[in-house]
Amino acid sequence: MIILLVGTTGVHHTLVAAHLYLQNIPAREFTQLNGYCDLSLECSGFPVNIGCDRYGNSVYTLGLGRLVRIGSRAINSFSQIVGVDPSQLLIREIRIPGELDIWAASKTNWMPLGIGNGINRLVADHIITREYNRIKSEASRLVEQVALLQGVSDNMTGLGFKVG
Amino acid sequence: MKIIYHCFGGSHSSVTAAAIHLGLLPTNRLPSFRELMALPHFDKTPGEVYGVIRFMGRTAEGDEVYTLGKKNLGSRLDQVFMGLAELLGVKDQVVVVNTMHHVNVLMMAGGFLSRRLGLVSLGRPILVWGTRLAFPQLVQAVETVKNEMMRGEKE
Repeated sequence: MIILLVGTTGVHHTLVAAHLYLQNIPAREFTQLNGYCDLSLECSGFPVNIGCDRYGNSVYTLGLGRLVRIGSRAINSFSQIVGVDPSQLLIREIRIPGELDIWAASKTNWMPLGIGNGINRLVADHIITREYNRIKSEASRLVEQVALLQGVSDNMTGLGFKVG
Repeated sequence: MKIIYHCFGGSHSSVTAAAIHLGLLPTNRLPSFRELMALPHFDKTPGEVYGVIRFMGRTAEGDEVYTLGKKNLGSRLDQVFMGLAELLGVKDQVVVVNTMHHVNVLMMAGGFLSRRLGLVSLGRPILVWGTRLAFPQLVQAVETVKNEMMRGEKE
């Protein structure tokens, strides 16, 4: 199965959520994550590959800009018309307060001398730190959802979460 | 093949292009008001269908033609769909066409008056006027899509 986490961008809170889901982050060390705030990763529009979970599912993130709901609906609709089996693709929106600020800050990346990149990081770091627990609970819910889809009812301990 | 024409509202330029592709409109002359209004979905999109890909019809060759209203998602949607198609292993089965480049000011103004403000009797004539002006470019765009599809099939 392909797990696609969508949000305003694919390299900020969605990327952190994906790593939390994969249990790749030492406590709150999200700024050191591979690809974090790296806008070059998503400029092609191709989903960003984060890794594989314990079931062998591939986890991707995707930035849709400020219209996440419409973009997510379009992707769902797209997967239906191309005949993708619903069990092959799980699309999950990662929404947090301040997500539009992260998206807006990412638009300053054109500024020279690393100013844009600095703004991008500064805003993202601030908002993700503030919303870290919310992102973590989103990841926990995803763990539950995937476990249910995989027909697994064992205890998922890594995120302090129990299935069933 | 699945061909998806998309524009802001999914009810004017994308529907017109899809209709041209399906042969629902003549390409040797401008369509009349009545012909445009008879098209399925033309100037009839309710707000909640943004992001929903709608089936318009099937060509004689068996290709399925769809329309989509994506609001301000811009040309990024092309890249997102093609990236997703590649990921799902269906890249060679999908063509995504942004028709926003062919939308003129009259279409925007008419569409806004008709769809957003609900001033249908005022907006529709302006919209149809704009659509008729943009029609040759939309025909050209559809021809380009068809030629590219034929080239792709040969390869």
